[in-house]
Amino acid sequence: MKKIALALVIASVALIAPAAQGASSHALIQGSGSSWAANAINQWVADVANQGLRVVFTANGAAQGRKDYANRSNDFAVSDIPFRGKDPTTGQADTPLGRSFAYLPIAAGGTAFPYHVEVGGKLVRNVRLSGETIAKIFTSKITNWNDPQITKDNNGHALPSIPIIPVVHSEGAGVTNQFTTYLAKQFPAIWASCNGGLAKETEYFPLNCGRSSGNQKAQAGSDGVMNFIKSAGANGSIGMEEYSYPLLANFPAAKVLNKAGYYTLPTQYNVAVALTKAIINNDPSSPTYLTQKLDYVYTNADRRTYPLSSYVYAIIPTAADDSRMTTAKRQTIADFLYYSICQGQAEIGPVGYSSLPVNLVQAGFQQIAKLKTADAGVDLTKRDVRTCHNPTFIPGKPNQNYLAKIAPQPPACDKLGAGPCAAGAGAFNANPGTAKPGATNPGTGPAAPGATPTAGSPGTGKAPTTGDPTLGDGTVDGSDATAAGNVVATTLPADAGSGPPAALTVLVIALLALALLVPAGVGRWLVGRRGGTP
Amino acid sequence: MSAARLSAVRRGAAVLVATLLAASVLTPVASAAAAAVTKERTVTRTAIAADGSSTQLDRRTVKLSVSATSNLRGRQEITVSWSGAHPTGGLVGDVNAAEGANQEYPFVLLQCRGVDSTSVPPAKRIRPETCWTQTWAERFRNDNTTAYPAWRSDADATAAERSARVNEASPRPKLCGRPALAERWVPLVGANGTTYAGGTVGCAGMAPESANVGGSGIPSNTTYGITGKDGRGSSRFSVWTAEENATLGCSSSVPCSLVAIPVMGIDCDGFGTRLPAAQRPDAEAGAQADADCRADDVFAPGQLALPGTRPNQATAGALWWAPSNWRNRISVPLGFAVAPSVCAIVSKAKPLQVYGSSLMNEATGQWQPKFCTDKALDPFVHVQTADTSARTLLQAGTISAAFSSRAPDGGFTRPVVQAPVAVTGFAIGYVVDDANGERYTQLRMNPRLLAKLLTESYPGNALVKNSYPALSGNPVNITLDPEFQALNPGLPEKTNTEAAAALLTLSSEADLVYALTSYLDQDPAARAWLDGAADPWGMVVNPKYKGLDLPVYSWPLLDDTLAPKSYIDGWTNPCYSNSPSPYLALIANPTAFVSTIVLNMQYAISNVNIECPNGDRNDPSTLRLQTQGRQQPGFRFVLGVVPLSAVSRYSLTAARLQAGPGSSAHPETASFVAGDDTGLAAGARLFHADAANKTWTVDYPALASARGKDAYPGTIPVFADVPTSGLAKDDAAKAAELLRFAATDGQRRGIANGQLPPGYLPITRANALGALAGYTLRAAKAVAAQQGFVPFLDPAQDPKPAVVAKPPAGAGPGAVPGSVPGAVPAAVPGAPAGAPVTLAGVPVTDQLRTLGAHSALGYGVPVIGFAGLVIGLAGAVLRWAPRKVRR
Repeated sequence: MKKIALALVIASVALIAPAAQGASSHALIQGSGSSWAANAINQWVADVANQGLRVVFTANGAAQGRKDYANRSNDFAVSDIPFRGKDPTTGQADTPLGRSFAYLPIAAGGTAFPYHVEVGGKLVRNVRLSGETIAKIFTSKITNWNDPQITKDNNGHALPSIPIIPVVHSEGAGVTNQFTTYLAKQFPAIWASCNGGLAKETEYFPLNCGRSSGNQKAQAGSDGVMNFIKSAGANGSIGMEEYSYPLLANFPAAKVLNKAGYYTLPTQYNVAVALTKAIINNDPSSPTYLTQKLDYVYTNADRRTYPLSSYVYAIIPTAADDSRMTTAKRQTIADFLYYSICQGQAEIGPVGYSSLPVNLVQAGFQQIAKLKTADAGVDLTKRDVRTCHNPTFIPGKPNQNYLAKIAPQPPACDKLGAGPCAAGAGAFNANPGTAKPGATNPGTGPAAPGATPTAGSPGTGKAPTTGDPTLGDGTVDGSDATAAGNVVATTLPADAGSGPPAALTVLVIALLALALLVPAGVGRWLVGRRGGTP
Repeated sequence: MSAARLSAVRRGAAVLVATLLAASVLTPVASAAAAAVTKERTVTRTAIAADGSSTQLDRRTVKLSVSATSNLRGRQEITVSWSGAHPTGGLVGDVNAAEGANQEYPFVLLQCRGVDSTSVPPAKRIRPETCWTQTWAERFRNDNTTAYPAWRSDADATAAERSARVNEASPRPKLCGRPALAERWVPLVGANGTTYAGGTVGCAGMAPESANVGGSGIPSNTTYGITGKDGRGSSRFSVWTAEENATLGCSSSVPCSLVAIPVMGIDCDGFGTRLPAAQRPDAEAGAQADADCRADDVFAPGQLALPGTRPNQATAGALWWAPSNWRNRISVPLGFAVAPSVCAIVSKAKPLQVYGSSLMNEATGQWQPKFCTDKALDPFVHVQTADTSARTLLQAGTISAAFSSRAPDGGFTRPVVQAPVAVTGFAIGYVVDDANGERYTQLRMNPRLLAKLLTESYPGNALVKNSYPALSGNPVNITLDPEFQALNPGLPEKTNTEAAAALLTLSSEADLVYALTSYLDQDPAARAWLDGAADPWGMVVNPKYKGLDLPVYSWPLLDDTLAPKSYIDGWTNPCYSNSPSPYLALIANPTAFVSTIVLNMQYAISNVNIECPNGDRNDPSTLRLQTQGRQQPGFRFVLGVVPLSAVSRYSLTAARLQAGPGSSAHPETASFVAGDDTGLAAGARLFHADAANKTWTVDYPALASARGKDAYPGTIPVFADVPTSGLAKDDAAKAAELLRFAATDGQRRGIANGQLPPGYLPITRANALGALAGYTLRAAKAVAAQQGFVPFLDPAQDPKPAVVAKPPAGAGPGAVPGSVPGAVPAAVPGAPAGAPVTLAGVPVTDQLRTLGAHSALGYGVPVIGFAGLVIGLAGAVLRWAPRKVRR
């Protein structure tokens, strides 16, 4: 009996001994660039701190991030676009100055249009705009919120006469490039008339179409843009910003009309749906491998599409002789990006981004592997898609996106010529699988009329209020809002195997049995030795 | 087995559990405070004449004090202060920049690998080659105007060190160009033995952590400290581990030192009297070298540097490595904490995601590694987002758990427990230099002053003051406000520091801002002033904010006034003229991230966004307003709202805040309380138990009353909001586990993994918060059960069905709950699981599915089984043993 007990002790100790930590060493890395992606990156930086990774990220704009990279003053850059030689509109130089590089996508998101329109001292929260209306607003062809074209977007419900203040970034910003690419492709004539005749994208927005004065404002950085829009003097303003910024500030963003005739928000679902039509450069030998072409995203005919969806990229040094790199730094870049494109994807949906599909994650791993090619000391063991928990994955179908499959349909009130819906409808970013079975679907989740939770509207300086003004009757018609298909949440094979190993199960059963038998046996034995009951 | 024997077995189990409890309570807490170190040294400067006679030019006794030298963590800031040093001249703005080396008589602080002792092998001693500098210029000098620059006249240098070219890279890379008349290279030797020769622009190789150009990221820690005219000075010094700088490579096993070099100037031996005759300069060159070495200083003490003016080479910081300077060093050994174990990079476990409050950042930062390294716990991640947004997402059923500090207005519409997990608060962080240019540490603030800053009521600069009639009667900034001066006497007045007109705050929504604005709203003086009454000195609220309704979740920017037309049309600031926007909002310039405010308060960075460096009217890509950036030491003034927990972690200074009632006319007579444990405990005692909504709230009227005069008014509770119905089983189990931990082990103070960092008041019975801890434990059960039940604040009101008595399974011996200091009765679970006989009667596997770890049959089962076995055996033996003795 004693021997068995001893054996059990040893077995148990072996079972509960902590797994050995990886021995690879890390070093502080510094990155800079896109403020579009900064809300996601800052979260990942905080997350990996408890893995011993030190990452400093400075959100100084994509253009500056690429410049820093070229000047070798950062270890990685984050940018919405690749190095292009020069800005197609301004001619600003844009090269890596000979530094080696590889791109890999790290997140998806939507370029949103946060706005500040007050009626009767309250924020309007359910404005809808078509792409053409937006194009005309930012080229100063539509200058008042009571413009008939805006009224038409809102199904005949007119806003009062408030001059429009378009707000753009004053620094070279990825969001400007995303937006002007959309304008150049979708509304070339409107855009060219504002951009010196060029239907080309740019990172530097031509303020007031290059005229010396006008209704537009340029603000520095995402903070500057959001601060301006939120300020009391900015009634009538509309800007462009990644969706996480209006979400953080609890400020409304305009719903944008898609090709199918629905006005949508850049929720993680609608972005995922839209990006199923992104054309990714799949030629590993191309210097712009993995970069995006969004022409078909803009025109994606799925009703759930948010047209201004895009990916954002990390730029990493791949040369073996890169002067800033050490084994420890490469390891840190590899592990930080592994976290970002894997587990990091699972948490960013509710805060305003969308997850990468599995094929891009896999391609990302190939790019990360270049760090090991440059330096054999980098350890990439087990850093692969099987440990990702990425909410987009469907086993065996690397080109499909689970988020896009389960994305809820827009409510009928979001249709062109219907509605408009109440504020909050179609606005929520549920993580798949967290809502209880039978709960309202995430697209319309909390938007029951009258129960819309709206916390403080900063523009009015008032604590939480209910009953913000809405355009129209604010109806929500949920009848059209059912998820497409019955895709069952699954995991990749490796995850499916994470249950108890057979040996463990046997051991557990044996232990339980022994736990019942041994004390009784020992007691009986002791009693037996003493002879008789007490 | 008889009933009597059974009870004896139970007694044995109870004894064992009690022993475990005692052991875990007595586990020593990592000592956070390290004693300060003080050292003293007499330093001299000598000159040697042509005849070899020496004259002492200067002699001083320097005292050095270092705030912490042991158990250091990466990027930890320590305070170094000194007295008795030579005053510094040619002052620069950034003492961490390479330009600082051009100051005369700086007090140089360096982190060097090795110790300053002859008892260790030479390779483990400090020397200039093991000291970190960020740029090549700090360790390379050349001269083409004379063959005998000051460093070659160094009387303390060996003959070899005084030759024309010292430590030149060999072979000399082409990139380095032709040799100058005199060159001194100071290579850097890395921890792994690699030598980086350096040279002009790093032509012969630099360490990977070096910067090519001034860039983004964290500043260098090499400090060219400024000594005031009184011989005193102080500086923060950020210590680095191998994680931050692998070349330097300091760790718990690789000892390093802080080296302070009070630069006194080169000991001049221009005539070369200490050199072998063959190496001496000729008479003419010797006389010139002597004159150069003994040249007058270019700057007077305290004088600012002038662009393009070169300092006296012999007394500049650039020669910190010269033996004359190096021999005057004072070195202090630095001990580093063992790096805490960290989460595995690769993990199959899918973490629970908890969204919300940035007030929890430091606590979750220390809890998370515990959760992912302890097999009994499941990992979680804390996704920071606006509190309001987290509540909305939770309300909508789209996330599983949130950290926040308030119930949503109108309450949750679904069953959600608000379980207290932390008592912390907001703090007003600051960097303010006093009249001597030293860091002020006694700042006091009151609600009216905070209201003045937030309402954009200080004009900020002359431009606004002269053009904005409504504000022209107000002081330009807070330093000129008599109320501020009454609270903080003796601080220098600043006339053109826009940052002194602003309190940097969050632009995203946060309960922290709600708490701050509740504090302002409840103070009668602040409220009256906001409503339009002038303060006793005549300052009035910005009319755009008059009557502002508080509290709010994010501070509104209400002033829409542009800079005057003449300023816009004059294009003196092309970035602004290109796109005029409300000017005072650019001074306030709130930010979306708490981390930005913390960084700005750590490095005295002004967030005022009105600068236009290199703005070219004809090049729109240059027309971007920029923030003012780092302020010049000696002249700093920044204020910002930060989480209290960041104050200790990043060595910030935080203001004491008016507590209880204040006097409008004599604000200095009020009580001022710091956000320490005492202040937080007094604040927490005033929490209002809101039985109807099943939560605790901060009682602002009580805080503003005489009852609040010892209470820190920034005290804020943080709750984990978790639904008690509708959660997936897996998430419910993980959330319950987090709550149990937060109510017990997670409240143990310390800076190790799993402990509660400074800035949080432990939720314990000792701090009169036993009711909160008990509630969180009951909440854990309700969350695990997912029956839609939300516990009552008063445990007596809770129903008593079997479901409540369920033991928290899945907690192995290593994580016995109930080890909370001041144990809460409900938290002693040992008995049911421990008694082998009852085990059979309890549906163990069922519980584990609800409450257990990673999978249906994780390691929890064997652990419990094993515990039961041990306890059973122990019980039997214990029962038997005493009898044997009695016989």
